[in-house]
Amino acid sequence: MVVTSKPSPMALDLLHSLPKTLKLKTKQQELLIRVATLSLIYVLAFATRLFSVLRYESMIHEFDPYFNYRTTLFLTRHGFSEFWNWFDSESWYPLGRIVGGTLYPGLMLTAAAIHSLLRFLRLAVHIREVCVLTAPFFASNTTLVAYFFAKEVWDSGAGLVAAALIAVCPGYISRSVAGSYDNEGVAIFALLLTFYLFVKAVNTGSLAWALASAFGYFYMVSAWGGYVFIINLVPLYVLVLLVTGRYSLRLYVAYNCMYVVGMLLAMQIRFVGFQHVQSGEHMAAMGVFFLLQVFFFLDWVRHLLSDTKLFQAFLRITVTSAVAVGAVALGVGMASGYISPWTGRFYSLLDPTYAKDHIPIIASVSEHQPTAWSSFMFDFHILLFLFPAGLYFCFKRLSDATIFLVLYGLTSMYFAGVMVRLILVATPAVCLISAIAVSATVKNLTRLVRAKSPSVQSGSSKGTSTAKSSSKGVVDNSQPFQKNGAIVLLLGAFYLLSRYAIHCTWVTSEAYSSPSIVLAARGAHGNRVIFDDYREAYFWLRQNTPPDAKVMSWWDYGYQITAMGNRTVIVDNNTWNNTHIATVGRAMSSYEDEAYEIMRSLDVDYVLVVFGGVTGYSSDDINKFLWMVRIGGGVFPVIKEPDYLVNGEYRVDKGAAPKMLNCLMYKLSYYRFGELTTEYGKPPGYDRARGVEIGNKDIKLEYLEEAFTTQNWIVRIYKVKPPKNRLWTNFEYVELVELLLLPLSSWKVIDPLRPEINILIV
Amino acid sequence: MSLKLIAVFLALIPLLCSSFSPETPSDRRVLVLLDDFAVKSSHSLFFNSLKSRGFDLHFHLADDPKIALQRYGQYLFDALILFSPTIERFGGSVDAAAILDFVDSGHDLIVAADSNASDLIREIATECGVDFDEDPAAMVVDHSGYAVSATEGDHTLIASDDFIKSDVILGSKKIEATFFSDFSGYMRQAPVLFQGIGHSVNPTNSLVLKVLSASPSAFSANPKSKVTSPPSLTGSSISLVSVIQARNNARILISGSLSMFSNRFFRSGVQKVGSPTKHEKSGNEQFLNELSKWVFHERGHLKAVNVQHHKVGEVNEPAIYRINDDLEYSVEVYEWSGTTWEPYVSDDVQVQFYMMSPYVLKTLSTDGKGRYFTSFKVPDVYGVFQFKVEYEKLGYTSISLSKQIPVRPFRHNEYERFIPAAYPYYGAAFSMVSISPIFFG
Amino acid sequence: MAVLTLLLFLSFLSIAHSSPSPHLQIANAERRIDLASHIIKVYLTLKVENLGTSPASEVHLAFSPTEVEHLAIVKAAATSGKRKKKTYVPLDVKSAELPDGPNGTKFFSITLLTPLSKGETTTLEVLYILTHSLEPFPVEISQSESQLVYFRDSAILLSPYHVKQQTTFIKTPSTRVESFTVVDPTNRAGKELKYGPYDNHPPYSYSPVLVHFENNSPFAVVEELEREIEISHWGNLQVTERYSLVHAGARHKGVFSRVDYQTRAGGTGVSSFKHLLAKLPPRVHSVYYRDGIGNISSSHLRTDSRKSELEIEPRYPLFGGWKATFVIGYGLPLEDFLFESPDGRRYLNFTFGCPLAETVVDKLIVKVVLPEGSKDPTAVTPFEVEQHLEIKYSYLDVVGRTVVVLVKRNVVPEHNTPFQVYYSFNPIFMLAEPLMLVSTFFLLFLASVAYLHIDLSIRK
Repeated sequence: MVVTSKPSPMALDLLHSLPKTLKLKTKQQELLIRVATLSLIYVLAFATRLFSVLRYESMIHEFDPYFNYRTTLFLTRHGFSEFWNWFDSESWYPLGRIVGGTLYPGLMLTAAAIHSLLRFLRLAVHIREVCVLTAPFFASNTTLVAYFFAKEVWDSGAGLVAAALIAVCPGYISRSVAGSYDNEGVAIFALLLTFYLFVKAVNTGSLAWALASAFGYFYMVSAWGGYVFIINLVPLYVLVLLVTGRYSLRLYVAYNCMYVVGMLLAMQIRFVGFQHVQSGEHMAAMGVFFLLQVFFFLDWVRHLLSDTKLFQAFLRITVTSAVAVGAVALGVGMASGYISPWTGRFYSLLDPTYAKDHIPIIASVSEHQPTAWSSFMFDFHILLFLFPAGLYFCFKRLSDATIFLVLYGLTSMYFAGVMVRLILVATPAVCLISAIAVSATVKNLTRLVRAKSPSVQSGSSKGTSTAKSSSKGVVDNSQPFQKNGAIVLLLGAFYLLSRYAIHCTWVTSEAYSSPSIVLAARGAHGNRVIFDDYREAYFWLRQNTPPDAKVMSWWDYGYQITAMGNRTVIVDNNTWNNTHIATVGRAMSSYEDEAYEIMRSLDVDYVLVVFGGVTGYSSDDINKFLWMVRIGGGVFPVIKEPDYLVNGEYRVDKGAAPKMLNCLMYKLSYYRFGELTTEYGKPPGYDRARGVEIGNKDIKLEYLEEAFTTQNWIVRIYKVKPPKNRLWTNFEYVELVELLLLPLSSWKVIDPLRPEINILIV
Repeated sequence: MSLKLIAVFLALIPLLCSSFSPETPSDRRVLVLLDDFAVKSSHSLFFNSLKSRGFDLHFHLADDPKIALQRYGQYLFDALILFSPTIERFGGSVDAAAILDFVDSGHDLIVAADSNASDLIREIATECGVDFDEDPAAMVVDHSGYAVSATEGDHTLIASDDFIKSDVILGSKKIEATFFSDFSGYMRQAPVLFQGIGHSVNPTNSLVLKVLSASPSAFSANPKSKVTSPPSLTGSSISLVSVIQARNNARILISGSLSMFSNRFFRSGVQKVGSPTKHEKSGNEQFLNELSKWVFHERGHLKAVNVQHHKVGEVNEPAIYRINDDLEYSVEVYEWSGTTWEPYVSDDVQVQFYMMSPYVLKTLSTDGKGRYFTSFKVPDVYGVFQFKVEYEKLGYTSISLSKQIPVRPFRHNEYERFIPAAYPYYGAAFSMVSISPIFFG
Repeated sequence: MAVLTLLLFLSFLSIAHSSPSPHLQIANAERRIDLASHIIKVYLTLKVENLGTSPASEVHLAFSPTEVEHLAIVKAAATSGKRKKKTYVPLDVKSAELPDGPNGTKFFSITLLTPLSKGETTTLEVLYILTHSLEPFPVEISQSESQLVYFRDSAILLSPYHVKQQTTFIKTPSTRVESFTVVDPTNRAGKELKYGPYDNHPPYSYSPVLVHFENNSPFAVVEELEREIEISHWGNLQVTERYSLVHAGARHKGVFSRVDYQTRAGGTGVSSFKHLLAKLPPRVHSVYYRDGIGNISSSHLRTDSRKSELEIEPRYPLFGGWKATFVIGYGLPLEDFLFESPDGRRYLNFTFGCPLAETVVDKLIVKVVLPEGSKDPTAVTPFEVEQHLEIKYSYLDVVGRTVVVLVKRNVVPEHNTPFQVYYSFNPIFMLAEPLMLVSTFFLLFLASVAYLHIDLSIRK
């Protein structure tokens, strides 16, 4: 791993080892090396992502991938037309979900296409395997794109380095290990491809490349809500070029073609629809489009008018009028509501603290917290330091392409700072820019080293291939220590790179390969213990409950329950309907009888809670509970967060707030837990996740009964009893129904993907 | 032969145990628990009327150690009559919880309390939703509504005629009426003799019905002692006889008086104080017999079967509807006449098309042969809907049907192909296409 | 059930004295009914003597309709010799028809080795196995209760012959017997219940008995088992078994409490089970155990030279009425199971039946996937099964593989006997797929070489 993961030096060794007898022209040698290195990187990028399969098994990871897997299964079984019109009555009971119209089909279609191709080749693989390996496969392709991109921007040496860096960069691996079958897996590939093609189009000014980039954009739109990043970055880039007086016909052709065709294509995705012409977030692109036309027009006029003074006047008039018209149009659009204003999600992206105050459901997702420095270090390692250096090199050799790279790098870095999971978007930029830094430095250094030693004449691949292009870095051999210094620096660079490789491998194997469905822990004797409780519970649901049973759980588990348990859920990870989720949050945080009314009105048959008190599994529902309270309280003011806290402190032991001790979630989590001794020398009912003895040990359930509890108690399922037979307990349905009806009356799918992506979609 | 017979009997046990089959709801095997067997003879008229209606009664002393309601989870009886007001604890495996389980599994119960009724009986009553007067010595006293009787001054013997207005519960035939010509020239029903304790009913509890209430002048106190503190129960809030229909349609009769079932009361004439007429026969017999018919599901038991729904013009049920589909819904409702299932005819059966709240609420029209049907348009909202029939009518078993059906939006090819509003654009496009050759060509 | 018994009994009354087959009679019949598990084994020892003049070559067994529909297998053997050196000679049993049988009664005829001539007597050992014949009662039990079941049978052997003397022993798994029909003389000692001896019962006499007793043995029933045996002439035999398992005992009622189940182990859920033992052939390799949603990480494999034992644990303990579906797969060395018959054809010799111990399989589907290109397959089974052919496409198949499908219902462990599938195969076909791959790669390299040259020429 270590050796192969930094192939550019390895390529050198390989070259040296080539026997002199082998007569190859330099170009051939170089090509051979490049192809060999690239293919090695290609394989490496795939291989390093298979840790999860080796450590655990070939399975789908986490939460959302299960939805993608389910839809892909549906697609392969029922065909595209059915998939396109699929109304899924198993999620969001009783509202249901138009799956076909509320997802980005790119991923599923890709997987299904690969699957059918393999089938055609008589390779009888199961669709699951295809889904598991989609992400690594596209990661490998991404390395290729990175190579060509960097080659376009800098030189092929940088390309190789970039490919090598991105192949193992943890920031990218975190979302593309085998089994994490999620949109980002293909989206990053599409993103980079679009950028590459666009830059290529700008450089060449050829219509073909522009069209290609338009199609790249189309694929991106079909794959991920993150396409909004493209549709805002590209105009920004164009604007910068215009401002810096780098306007050219190449740019004109590239952008117009890319924007118009791309927009038309994007509208074909049902879920995106007319957003390109209607939503505020897409307006920048359109504005820039018109601005370009103005520029073109002005050029033409200047070409006609010889008199500059006249032209100046004309210029003033046109520009002001154009701006005025644009402003008016925008204002009218906004006022008439034709153009939707920016949504809260967009604000929360610009202002990191926005979500916490206004959209708890976004803030509740751990991936949405602002990024800590540690995680930057964790995901980028040395790239974090190479990045500025790369920027320096870019500025030193400014061109249309490098400007784009710089813009991409800076903006994405900012977003990465706002939100942890957007590190993903920044990763390619960081890798590319760092690659430029590395290759530039290494090249200069090697030139120094080679200055007096013709033995290595054939030199580094980069050296020869880009001798023409890099006429800078003039070497004067006057200083004597220069060469040694160069060698030392080279060694240092290689040392750093190898550290990077080691770090990446370690992170991948340790941190990013766990499928959060199966939990692994170290046993008392250091042996590996597997907690398979999730699947135990889901399979129990699938086998031993009536097929039309409705399961209420916190939304995190919705996708898994529908995919693995094959049962109807009330809410799931597609959090488009805040009210519905808030209703569940309210049920979980009210007393049992109030909760019973809510559950009756939602026809809930089973309630599923996740509980880590026995195993010490910390991300369980009790720890998520405050978010349920907040989200519930956001819609239903009867739920007040302070009721669950003791002078601002969240506790479950004797000192806990009385409401806390008697709310549904507490009861369901700790039902009969008081009788169990979890740890030697501790009193019964000792919660290992919180490290306290629970406060309420004799919990009586009146309206629910324990239906199933998994071996390690991680998942507990309760059955909702029918109403009492003799004694009347009258429900206030009315008030409840009104509240529940909110989503129905004001029902508009803002965005059915998960909130974190929504922020990009807006 | 004999051994074969044993075998057959054993083999038949499961058969016997299959209680309360939905096909023939009225009960067959009734367990009667008594304080002493004297009651069996003193209340023979009531029992005989049951026997004559085809019930086989098993009499046991309430503390008989051999009595059991169930064996191996199968109930041995369809109904239970508790004529043991004073019993402190039952014999055998029977206790309050067992009796309530008995009810909760769909069986019927008649409880007759009496003055100095035991806590056990009170507990059962409370669990069923009626509360007897706490004061153990208290009886219902009515100084203006008592029955004229031999023992003068005994105002605890009440003649009440404040019945519930329901033919289903009390039978269509008016309780034996005699024309009588005082200033108000109308039929008066023979009052029912009652002597015992009163109970109160929680008004919010809609499952309990007061069948026989006391007169406004009645109150519940210890007749022996003087009334010092204001009595807890007064006036017509006192219920003398109540019935409960549980959600699973098990029916319970709770009476504060055991003696009202007795032959003596059945036979004796009654003259309400202050009223000149003297009925030579009290209303007890008919009242209680009719009531027992209701309690034992000989009357007012409905069943709904054969729910069907389909698109207009089709016959078989679709797995999913589309918004704005026109559909037809039909259900058949029958009433148990005691021997057969008769079509139930009414004009107030309604169906809801329900998703968290009713989107469509329609009254079903009937063809008089038990079939109820309607047709309506699916609302323009998609989701998982339910056809709900929630029919709760005084005296009848409540029907609660719900059938789930998802409703989907239009498919991509189900919208209209050309929108009139867009004709200008079509025109523009096609004209562009047509003239472009002129420019480029 | 009850009604049926009643009708039966009536019908038998009606025909109690219809003409018995004259010349044979059973001098002594001894039945030993083993109720230890939910698979009921009945060992029947008949001492048959021929009173008639003509030699009899067949002895008939009679079964009531309820027995017949639960009858899994009937075996018979003739015994000779005394206590010590007793020898058993298996006899063949086939279903038969008798004219004078009462309605519903089914017959099986045992063909004797040597016809029984006048006055002779012979002793027959019969074993028949009944499934689904223990009716849980109560039908629903809670976690803390133990499981009680009814067993219905006749105290008197149902037989077309006059029975001079007979005894029936019923062995219950535990000493807890709630109730049992008394047919004097009847006495019960510990786990054993003895009916008889009874003397001189006319043909077709019958007296229903009902035993109500405790039986907590796992009622593991596989509703459908599909065994796919794929032959690869490269030396591997891949077996894939798809189970849909259900606990057919008394249904679980009310709550399932993990606390009780963990802390008072044995005290609660006595009728539930969490382990199953699968006996696999020796030298088994690459065993896996998974279900619809992934691997099940709880199974232990013990192998030795003679057999392999796989202890599997469903994801959750199975209580009454709970279901679990899973797949077991393993590979086997081909040479242990594939042989060449003298006529040059190959044949697979593999065990029929379900590897799980003590389970009933309602429907067993055995699919033998022959290698691509094999012709005219024929299956030879020790008992009759439905069979037909299918085509399956696997990796790199062009014409598809022939699949021999054998279906049998109501299978018990006694059915684990070898069966053979004969087919003819031309070894050339083995090379087809490798050649395909080789050629593909060759073309690939050709293409890349071409690309390289074109590439260079462009750069010039």
